[in-house]
Amino acid sequence: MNCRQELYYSRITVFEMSYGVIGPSSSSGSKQKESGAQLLARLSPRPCLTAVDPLIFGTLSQPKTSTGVTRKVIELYGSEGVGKSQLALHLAARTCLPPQVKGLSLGGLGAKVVFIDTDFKFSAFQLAVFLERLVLSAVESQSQSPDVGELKKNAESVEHQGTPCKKMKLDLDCLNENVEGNKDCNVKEKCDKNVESHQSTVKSNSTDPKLALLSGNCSSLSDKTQKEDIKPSNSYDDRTLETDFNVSNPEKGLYPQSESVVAKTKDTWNQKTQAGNSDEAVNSRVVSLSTKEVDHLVQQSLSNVQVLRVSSSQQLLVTLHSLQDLLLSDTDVSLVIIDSISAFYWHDKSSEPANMSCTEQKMKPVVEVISKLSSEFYVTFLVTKSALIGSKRKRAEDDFYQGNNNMKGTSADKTQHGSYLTEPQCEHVEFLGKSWLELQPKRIVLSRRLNHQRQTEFVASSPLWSSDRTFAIINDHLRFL
Amino acid sequence: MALLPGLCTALTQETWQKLQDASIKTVTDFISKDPELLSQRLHLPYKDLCSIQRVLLAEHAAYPVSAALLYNGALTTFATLSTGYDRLDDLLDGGLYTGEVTEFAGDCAAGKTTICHAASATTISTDGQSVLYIDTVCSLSPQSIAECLLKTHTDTCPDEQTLHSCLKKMRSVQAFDVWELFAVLKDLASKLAEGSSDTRDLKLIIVDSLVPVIYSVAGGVQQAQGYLSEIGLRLKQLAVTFSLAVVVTNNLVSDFGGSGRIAALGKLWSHLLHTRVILERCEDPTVLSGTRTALLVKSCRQKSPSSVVFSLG
Repeated sequence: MNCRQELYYSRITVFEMSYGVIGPSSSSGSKQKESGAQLLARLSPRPCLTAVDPLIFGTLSQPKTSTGVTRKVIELYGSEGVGKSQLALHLAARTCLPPQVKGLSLGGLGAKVVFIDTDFKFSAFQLAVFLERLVLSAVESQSQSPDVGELKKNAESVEHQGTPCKKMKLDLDCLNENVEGNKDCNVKEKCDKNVESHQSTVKSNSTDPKLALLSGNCSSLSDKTQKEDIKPSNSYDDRTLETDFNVSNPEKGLYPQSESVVAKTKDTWNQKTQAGNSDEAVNSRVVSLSTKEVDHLVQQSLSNVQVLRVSSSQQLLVTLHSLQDLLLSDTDVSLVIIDSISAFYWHDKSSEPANMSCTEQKMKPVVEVISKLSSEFYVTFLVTKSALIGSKRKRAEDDFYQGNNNMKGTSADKTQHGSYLTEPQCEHVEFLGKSWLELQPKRIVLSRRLNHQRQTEFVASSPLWSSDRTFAIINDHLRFL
Repeated sequence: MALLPGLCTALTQETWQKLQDASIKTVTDFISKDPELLSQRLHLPYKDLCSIQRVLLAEHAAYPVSAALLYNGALTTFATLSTGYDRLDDLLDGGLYTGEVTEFAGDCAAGKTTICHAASATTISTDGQSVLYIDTVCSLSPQSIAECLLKTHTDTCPDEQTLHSCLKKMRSVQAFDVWELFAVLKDLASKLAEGSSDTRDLKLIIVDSLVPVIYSVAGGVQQAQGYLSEIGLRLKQLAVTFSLAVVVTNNLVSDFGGSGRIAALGKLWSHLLHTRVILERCEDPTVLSGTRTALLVKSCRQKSPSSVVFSLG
């Protein structure tokens, strides 16, 4: 909108009925005044987050409130060290990354993010590392092809271009690991081995869901090859992609192709690629980015994130109110992250020990402003909530250390962390009071476990999903498995 | 945050009185109200209420800072400090990070204080950085620090004078209850803000240990958790604002099932930390007595859980 238009619109005053019947502002039944510029900013379409992660941000499974207004409040819940902040940061990275550069699809959204940091844990470094990994993996995966020689060349080029610019040891490490990983990938022998093992497992037609997924991948890929229309995708794990090629290319149609699996993977494929595969034609040639360009991209994405550090619940409330102006002036802001909403819970509770309804009193105005902003401006709130209160039933479970101690008596194997292999550790316990419940956030409960390869995996579950999702952070790159 | 008359020109004594009568006494009370409804109800000019609201928002809301700015700022001040043990540094991905709170938890004689001493010694012997040691259990021993310093200078044996000048870079404060600790942290924050010579080149704050301070709080769990959240917030504020590394030590307690040992101070404190390392003695009689297992339980960078065996030696 240019200046003149703005001037023009700001002279119009629009009267409109406020939203619900129950909303706080409508209690007197009055009409609310707002200028045309405000109305436009409020109603103008903000970038849609569904492309970032359809399961987390998708609107289909959004609970409708009693007034029929769709609110987008997503709550990440879990005990410490289960990846709440990491997941939030990853989603922020995906949201602020531009969709594409030089015709190379990055899988980003290019929208703006407001990050309210109540825990003083926001790390710009980590966000930058996440961004850089996203960009580099996009560069890597776009040049994926069965040709091993080309891959090697690519790995070398990554090594060549990556090394000198690194400012931090952290980056260097991740890069080295990444290059090593890439080389691993390229060793033909290993690939062949993988192929063999995969073939055997696929043939045995096991019921393991992971294997089902694998065969699903195979079939979707062979499906693609039949169409002779292979699109490199950045959202796919490059290693699996490569092995998939090796599996599916030589003996097409050898594997059981369940129709439903194919359909399902096709769906996810479409969802994954809809983010920005508009220029597949350009993708056919290899786009390489210089370190300067990668740096520039990271900087550009970082400037899409506004960080607000908040140190008390009062300040949180005032800051949330001040967001209104920010949202009015910028229609690209589509995600507000609060990490975490429960930061001042104990502080507030202890400041008024005699007041039993203290939490409710503090949370109610916060909930009101969140609900107002999310329904009037169509922004999504992503809120992390720490498991501060344990469930009385399952009190003893959740520490890893306990498992380790138990093992000590029986075996000397210190790396065997028994309790992690078994149960998910966390069940949801609500402690933020009635008004928070009434907000009906879409809740995602996170937990952590060790998988069979002794790798740490994070498990995300939501009552709205048909199955749990696992994700892992490998080389500073968060991936859903 | 009380609403006081004279905060801005629109908030006159008269307006303030009207707001008080309507039981709008704090900033949050005022902010939560719709100025339009308020003006109708209290018969106050809408414009005045809007301008009061603007002033309050400007004064009390957090100011948005671009992440790019934070990143570039962090690039210039960022550092990792060595703990003095290579294998422990590897576990922590390079050492103690500035801007973060790292906890070492363990039973008695697990090596918590020894690690604090070693980390202080390595920090003060490199680049003229200084250390603040907040001592709550009288655990600080200058001899031990001096020994560690001697170890860090393996090639050249430092004379009395260099040792002395090194030790000068380390300040120690004693705090035996929560209020003393708050006072220390507040004093530190103001000194850092005005750039006092006491805090020049300060890179590391050590709190050894947090447990007696919290356990001495009267008023039960609720009160203690409240103080804990305040301490955590202030430590993190210091760490982030002035780019400092913070180390705290903690004890282990039996968990509710009674079968294992977990870090003390409860769930809230675990959430406040960036990194938690649990130290354990090796009970195997064949290994040396100084051997310890360090177990990374929580980290925002490294894979956790993971562990290393190292020698305190």
